[in-house]
Amino acid sequence: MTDERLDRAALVLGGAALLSSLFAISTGGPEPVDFIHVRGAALGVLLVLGAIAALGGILHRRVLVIVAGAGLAIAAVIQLLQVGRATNWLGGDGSTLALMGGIGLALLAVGLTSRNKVSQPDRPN
Amino acid sequence: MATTTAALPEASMDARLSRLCVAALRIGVALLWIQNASWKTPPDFGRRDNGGLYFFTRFAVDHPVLPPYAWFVEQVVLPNFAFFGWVTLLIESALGAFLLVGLATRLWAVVGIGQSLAIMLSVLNAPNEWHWSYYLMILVHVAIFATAAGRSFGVDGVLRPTWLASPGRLNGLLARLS
Repeated sequence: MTDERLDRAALVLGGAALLSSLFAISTGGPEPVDFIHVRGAALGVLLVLGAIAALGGILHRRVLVIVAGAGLAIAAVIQLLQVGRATNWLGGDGSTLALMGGIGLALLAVGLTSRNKVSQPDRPN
Repeated sequence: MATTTAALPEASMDARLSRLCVAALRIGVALLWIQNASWKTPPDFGRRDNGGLYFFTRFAVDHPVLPPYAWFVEQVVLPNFAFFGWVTLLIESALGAFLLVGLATRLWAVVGIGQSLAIMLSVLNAPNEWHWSYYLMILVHVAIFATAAGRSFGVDGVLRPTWLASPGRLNGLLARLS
């Protein structure tokens, strides 16, 4: 039961990374709906690692989830170090950092959680 | 009896709709922080051109809301602006990141209340500001805390049963922060 929930979470998080690539078709300017800056290499990172995370969920392979999560977390650190600098490999800003960091940490949390611990899902409040 | 059995799916649909609304609230607030992390640009965060984050932070001194806070900004924050710029960027990026995925959501709701307070104390009396923007920012984080919004379609909801069932301080802490 828990394994299934973790795999579904990995699939949803990978799907979210893939979906966020849609921000690449926005103007990239300070428009009301330009929530996240996704350009250049950042787009490729999100597409590739998002697909790996989704595959990890579908194929029940936690190693793929961990690889995708670690990759996105490393990309977020790189973005943090290069934001506002002339050298900006991912071409992003603070919003790119937040997106990659959030999905990366979530995938790591899901991938590194011990399996088969409990059988009852949490009740919503 | 028929009424009772018919009410069950209805209650379930109501609960699911409520959880969807709570998740939409959490993700919407995450996008607020994410979008506003994009214009906090190092290394000087607008100090050289009197723009960006520096421009808005100066409002705390030019249009003070709370004298002790204005003093703190003038004497401590502005002279060390690069440091506080990085702190702001990190906090707001983290708020966006953690609220987006719903991880340790109650902790980040409290951080969001604090950051919204800091923003409010900086710009509340500035010209052309709508004061309810900042009251609403604080209240929306109170709502996220009250509903433990990460348990609705968030990572907290997936991992919390494991945290509760596992021994160890970290698991207990994560369960409390979710």
